[in-house]
Amino acid sequence: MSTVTEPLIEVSNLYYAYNDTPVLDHISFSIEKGSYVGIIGPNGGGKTTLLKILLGLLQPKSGTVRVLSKSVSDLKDKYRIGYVPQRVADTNIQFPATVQELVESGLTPKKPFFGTLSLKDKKRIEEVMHLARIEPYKNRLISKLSGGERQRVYVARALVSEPQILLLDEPFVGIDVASQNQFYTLLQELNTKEKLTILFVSHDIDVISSQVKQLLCLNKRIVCKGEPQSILESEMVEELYGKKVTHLHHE
Amino acid sequence: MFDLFTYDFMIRAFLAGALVGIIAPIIGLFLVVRRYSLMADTLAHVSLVGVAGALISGGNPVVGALIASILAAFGIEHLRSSRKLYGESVLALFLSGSLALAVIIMGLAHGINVNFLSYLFGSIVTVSQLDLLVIASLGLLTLALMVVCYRQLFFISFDEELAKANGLPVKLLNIILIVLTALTVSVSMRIVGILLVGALMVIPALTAIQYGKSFKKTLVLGVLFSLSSVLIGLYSSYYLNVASGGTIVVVTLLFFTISLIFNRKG
Repeated sequence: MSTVTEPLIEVSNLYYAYNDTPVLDHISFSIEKGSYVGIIGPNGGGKTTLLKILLGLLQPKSGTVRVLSKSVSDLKDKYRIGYVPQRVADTNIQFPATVQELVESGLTPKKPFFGTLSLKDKKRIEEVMHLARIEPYKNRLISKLSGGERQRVYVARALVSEPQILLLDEPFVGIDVASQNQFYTLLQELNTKEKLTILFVSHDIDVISSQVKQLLCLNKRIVCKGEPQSILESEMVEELYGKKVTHLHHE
Repeated sequence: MFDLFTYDFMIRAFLAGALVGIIAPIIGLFLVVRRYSLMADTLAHVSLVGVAGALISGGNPVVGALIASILAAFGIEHLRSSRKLYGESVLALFLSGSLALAVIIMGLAHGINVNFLSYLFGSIVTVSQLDLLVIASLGLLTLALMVVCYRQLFFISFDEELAKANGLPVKLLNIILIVLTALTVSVSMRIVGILLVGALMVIPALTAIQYGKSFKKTLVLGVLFSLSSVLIGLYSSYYLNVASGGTIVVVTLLFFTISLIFNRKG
C-alpha cells in the first residue's frame, strides 16, 4: 500500500464565471488532511462560489477540482463532505421538526430508500448531539431555539454522517458573540481530536485568524495563502480588500 | 342515527373518504413546509382538463385526471427547477391555463353537464364500485411511496440545496412529491371535489403544525384532523342535506380556527 497521502482537496487552474463575469480565475491550491483553513475576501470575491464548486453544486468552466481523491462530479458518497450553508440559522425556522429529527436527517444520504436507522446510527446521533452540546434540548422544535443553538444543530447534522471535510459558509451571521465562542471551541475540538479538515468562509478576518492554522485570501484569484499571523503582518490584506484594514488582535 | 350506512353508496363514500382523509394531509404537510401550498390546487385545476377529456371521450375521469396532472407535474417541475420563472408564477400559469382549456373542452361537448359539476364540487352519491377500487389502489400506492421515500422527502423539504450537495437525487424526489400530489388530487376529487381538494390537503396540515411537537407527530395529527373532518363532514352533510365537499372543508376550517385560539405552542 502506498504511504504517500494525497491531499483531501486539490484545485488546479480553476476558472468560473457567472454569465461572462469571471468570479474565480487561476485558482490552484491543495488542502491536506487535518487542515483548518479560513477563507477570507471581499464580497463578490468568490468565497461561496468556491465552496459550491467543491460540493459539486456548480461545475467549473475550466480547470480540475479533486475532492477525496476523485473528481467532484464522480464522487458518489458526497456525505463525506459536511456542509453548513450561509444564513442557515435564519432559514426555514418554522419547519416543524425537532433537533433530533434534523440531526438524524444528516444520515439520509447514507441510507437507501426505505432505510432504517441501525443501533450504530443511533449511537452516532447521540454522540454528535453530545459533542455539539445540543443533547439537553434534543426533543425541542428548532423554532424554539436561539440562533446559536440552531447553528450547532446544523453542524451536528453535518457531522453525523462522519464527514472527512467540513465546509462552513459564514455561519455566524446574526449570532451573538458568546455563541460564536462556544462554536469556535467546538470546531477546535473537532479539528484537533477528530482530525476533521475544516474550511471556514468568514468576513471577520481578525477572529478567524486567531482560530485557523491557515488563511486563503480570495478576490477572484488567490491573493495570498499561508499562516494567519504572517498574512496579517504583510500588506496582503490591504491588497485583498483594496484599502487599508484596521485589525483588532485577539489573543 | 346510523341509518345512512344502510345505503351502499354511503359506505363507499365513507371508505373512499377515510382513505382520502389519511393521505391528503401527509402530502399536504410536505407541500406546506416547502411553501408549495398552491401545488395541490394547481394540479386539481389541471386534472379538470383530464376529467373533461375523459367525459367527452368516454374514458374514466379519475384516470384522465391522473394522466393530465402527472404530465403537468413534469412540466411544472421542469420550469421550476430551470429557474426561468418564479416558483409561484409557474403555478398560476398552469392553474388558470388549464381551467381555460377545460372550459373549452366542455364547451365542445355542448354545454357543461351535470357529471362535470359533480367533479368540480364532489359528489359522494356517484362513487361507484369501480371508483372505490381505483381510489383504494391509488391511495395505497401513495402511502407506500411515502413510506419508502419519507426520509429523503423530509431532507429535501428542509433544504433542497443541501440535499443536492449531499448527493440526494433531488430532481427525482421532487418529481415523486409532485406525482404523489397528482395521485392524491385524483383520488380525492370524487369526495371533496376538484375545487376543494387543495383545502383538504393544506388546512389539516396547517392545523397540525399549531400543535405538532415533532415532524412525525405533526404528520399523525394532520391525519387525525383530516380524517375526523372527512367523517364528521360526510356524516353531517347527509343529515343536513348539504354538499359533502363543502361541509368537509368547513369542518377542517373549524378545527383550524380552534387551533389558532387554543395553541399550546403559543
